[in-house]
Amino acid sequence: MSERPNILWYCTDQQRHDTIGALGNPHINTPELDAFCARGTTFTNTYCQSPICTPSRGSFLTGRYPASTHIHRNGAADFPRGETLVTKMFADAGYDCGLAGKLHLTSAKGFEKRTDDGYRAFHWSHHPAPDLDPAHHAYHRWLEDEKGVDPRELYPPRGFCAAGVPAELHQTTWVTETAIRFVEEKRDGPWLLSLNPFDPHPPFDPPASYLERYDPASLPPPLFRPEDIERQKAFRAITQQTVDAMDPRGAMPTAALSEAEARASAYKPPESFNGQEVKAAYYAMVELIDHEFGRLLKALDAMGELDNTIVIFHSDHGEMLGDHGILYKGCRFFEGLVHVPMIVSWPGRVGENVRSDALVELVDIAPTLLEAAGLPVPSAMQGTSLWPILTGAADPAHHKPHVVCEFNDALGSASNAASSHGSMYFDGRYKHIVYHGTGLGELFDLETDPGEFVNLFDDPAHAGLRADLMRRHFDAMMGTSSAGAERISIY
Amino acid sequence: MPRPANLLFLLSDNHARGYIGAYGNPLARTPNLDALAARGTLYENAYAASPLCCPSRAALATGRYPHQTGYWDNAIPFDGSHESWMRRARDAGHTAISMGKLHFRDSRPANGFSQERHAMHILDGRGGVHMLLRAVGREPVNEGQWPLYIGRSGVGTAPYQGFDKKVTAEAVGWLRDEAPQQEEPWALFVSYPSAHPPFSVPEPYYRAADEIAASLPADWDRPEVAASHPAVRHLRHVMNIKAIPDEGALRKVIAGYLALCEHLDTEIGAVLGALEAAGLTDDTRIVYTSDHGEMGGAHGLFGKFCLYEESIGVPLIVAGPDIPAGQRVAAPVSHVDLAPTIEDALGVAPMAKDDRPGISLWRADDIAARDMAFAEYHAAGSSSGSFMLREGRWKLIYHVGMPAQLFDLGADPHERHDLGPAHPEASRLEARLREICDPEAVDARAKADQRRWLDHYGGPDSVAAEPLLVYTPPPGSAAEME
Repeated sequence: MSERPNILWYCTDQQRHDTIGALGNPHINTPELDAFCARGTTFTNTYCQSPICTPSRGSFLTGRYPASTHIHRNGAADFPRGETLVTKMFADAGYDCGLAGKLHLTSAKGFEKRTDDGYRAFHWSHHPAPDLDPAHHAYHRWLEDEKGVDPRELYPPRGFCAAGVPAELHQTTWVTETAIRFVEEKRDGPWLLSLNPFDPHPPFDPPASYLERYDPASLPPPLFRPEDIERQKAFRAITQQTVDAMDPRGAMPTAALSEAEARASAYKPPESFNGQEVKAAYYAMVELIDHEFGRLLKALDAMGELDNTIVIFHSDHGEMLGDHGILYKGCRFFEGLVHVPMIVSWPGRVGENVRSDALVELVDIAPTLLEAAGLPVPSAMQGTSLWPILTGAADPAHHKPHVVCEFNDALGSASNAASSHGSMYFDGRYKHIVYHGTGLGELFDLETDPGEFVNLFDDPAHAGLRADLMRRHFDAMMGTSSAGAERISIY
Repeated sequence: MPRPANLLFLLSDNHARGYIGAYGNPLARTPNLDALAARGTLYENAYAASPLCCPSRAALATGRYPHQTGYWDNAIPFDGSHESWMRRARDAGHTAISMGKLHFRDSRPANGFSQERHAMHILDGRGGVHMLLRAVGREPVNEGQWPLYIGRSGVGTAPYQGFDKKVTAEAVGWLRDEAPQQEEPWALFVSYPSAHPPFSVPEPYYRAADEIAASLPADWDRPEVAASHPAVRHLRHVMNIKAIPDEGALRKVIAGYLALCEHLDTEIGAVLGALEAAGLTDDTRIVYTSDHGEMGGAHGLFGKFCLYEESIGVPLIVAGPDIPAGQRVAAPVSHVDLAPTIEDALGVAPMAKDDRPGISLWRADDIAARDMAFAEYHAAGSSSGSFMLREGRWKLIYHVGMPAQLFDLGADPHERHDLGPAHPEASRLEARLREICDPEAVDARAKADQRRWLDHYGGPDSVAAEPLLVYTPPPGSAAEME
């Protein structure tokens, strides 16, 4: 067995923080993640650096903030020169790196033009629907070659929320199958495997066998008060896939969709929806992830690989899921969208059944993994290693004083995709948000208002607090911008 | 057009350009090939059509690139279903006889030769079926490859050398006894499995590794430079390529390879001697080339399987009546040029409409005016198709789904500095490449064909469970499996 640990890096897409049973959600069934929490250290206050895929992934894969990577947009033409993925660093250090699922650092329409990413095995499947270049779509190759299934027939147009493909043919299942094969490959050194399934990203289409496990009526409705509709109107020019907030107690759409409309439902929400129905489907998707993640860990254990493997589970960003009348994502910073799950394990090395409620950021992952593997952390990395907390050398209640998140013209798929720019500063109690150039902002006191219903931004009684937060927010955002190349002389 | 004359086509396996004295390697002991170059013309920038036995040999036979025929890999070899120079020669009344390694599917009249003697084909008509698994992203690690180079280079014997001698004996006998009876110009194809590894060579040829004093291949000790590209990284994984332990280990491999090349040269010398003894030298043109090269430790790699110069570049020497002596041609030429070249040499009537990409080497002006060479690869150790366009000093290696590599061979002949896809020359060369084929479409077609053959052999799981072939055995020897 090699001395350096293997790394299993499981990153779901658009999974909220509050989707793991053991972390306080009695309505979702996640036995495998619950058990995983008991075997590792859970960071209960993890924040993404952007509520959108590409900037978030570009950030945690480089250990640098979007303001420094210049990776801001989904659909980008190119990966910036000069940025180095941590997977590339591991590959250069002798790791055999593989990927199954999406990468999404540049435009993924058709296929994704790779950068020098360090992956030796690259089983790409950006999303399961059959509108990608089939030559590059590894999941569809698997469906056709090994399951004898035509992906086009498996993915007929469905609504934004409906029973989807059966579990045995699901992309989430394929991710586990591909992972097992990767680990079984013969090699001398350690491996790193990025597993990036598309779920629980919309459309909300779990297998029927999972969907039937949830009774929508028994689930708590989204965080919503009728005045949300009015409150959100002020922000309707700011990019958001749900342009106009709507009452999440509405009817589910019943009209049949054209193929184009069905494909667009991955980013275009319906005219009305029922938040409990959507939540049931979303939870069912997470439960399939839970099952497949658990199956993978058991397979690794059977192969004797688990003891020397760091396993990290997290998501790239969240999902509004009807909170405040909003579905999907955009230039918003509500908890559902920016607060994500994160759990780390390494038997015998990482604390078991530990809960860290420190503020942490996804940008901290890359330096953590490097330090855990005994590799140098480049000075250009801006995240702060969590290794001291993971090993019990540091207080799990403290890591950094604040977290930040940013949206900079990140999303082309919203119908109001103007060049919105927003940023968030959160110190563990106050969340301060500025929609740059608009005069708009939000200020929530999560201690008294965890549901983020009361915007104090323009409340004269909180002007002093706002001024203080504005200064701290300004400092924090400036702190995310790298000063660039090291200084080698005084001028 | 040349006057019709006989043609002796000498083909070796895995003989890199750099391992011939006439190509400038003072350590290579290849007196017969050097003498052939001295009385003939040497092409400094000749390329195979694909850096692997079967696709390369199919292109030699047909004069077409793999994407034009679908002979992609060592499990989908030439099977005679496309037109070939030998079939055209035979049908025009010439004897076209083969001796030795063909690496087609099997012996069948449709291959086109009048006769195949000591024919060596893919194993059991199936060949390297594991490389088909690339099409589904499941090509297994070929564990035997590394010990084949690092473990077995040195003094010893390998089954190929005895087979080489049989081929030589057959060719010598034919030139002595049968060639004089031919009424029409003939084509004799003599094909050796050397200098394919293992580089395990008897004492008279092998000289101690410490005598190999020359400079070592570029970046042999910096494999991470090339492996920064995902295609190279994947190749290293599948071919089980590890860090070369030390200079001594590398020198041993090179010493073995040099010795094997010397053995090969001796065999070739015997055939050329028989030609001379038969009094046929003045009436016979000679072509020497190899099916592909050998990395030989450059960039830390062994084997072929890639589009670096050491792997896709090949020696090409032609000599004989009306061929200028001592001439060296810098213009890029390709194996696809050889089919029309051979037909011209024999006097086979031209095709009514010849849409093959090659140019007969007899059309020296056309060759001199040509400024580019193309090659492609869709087989072992590659997860997606790669394509080469060499033009003047520039060389583009386009990879489907991965960044393109660009090298300035004028300033960087050893391809140590990848200028990358953002360089303006990269997009210009890519545009030229796309005039030849659509890389993405070709990649999809190759994989679709490979998946069909996987299905034919019982599907990916079944093929993956089979033992892995390390190298194709010569007739009469057992296959070496992992």
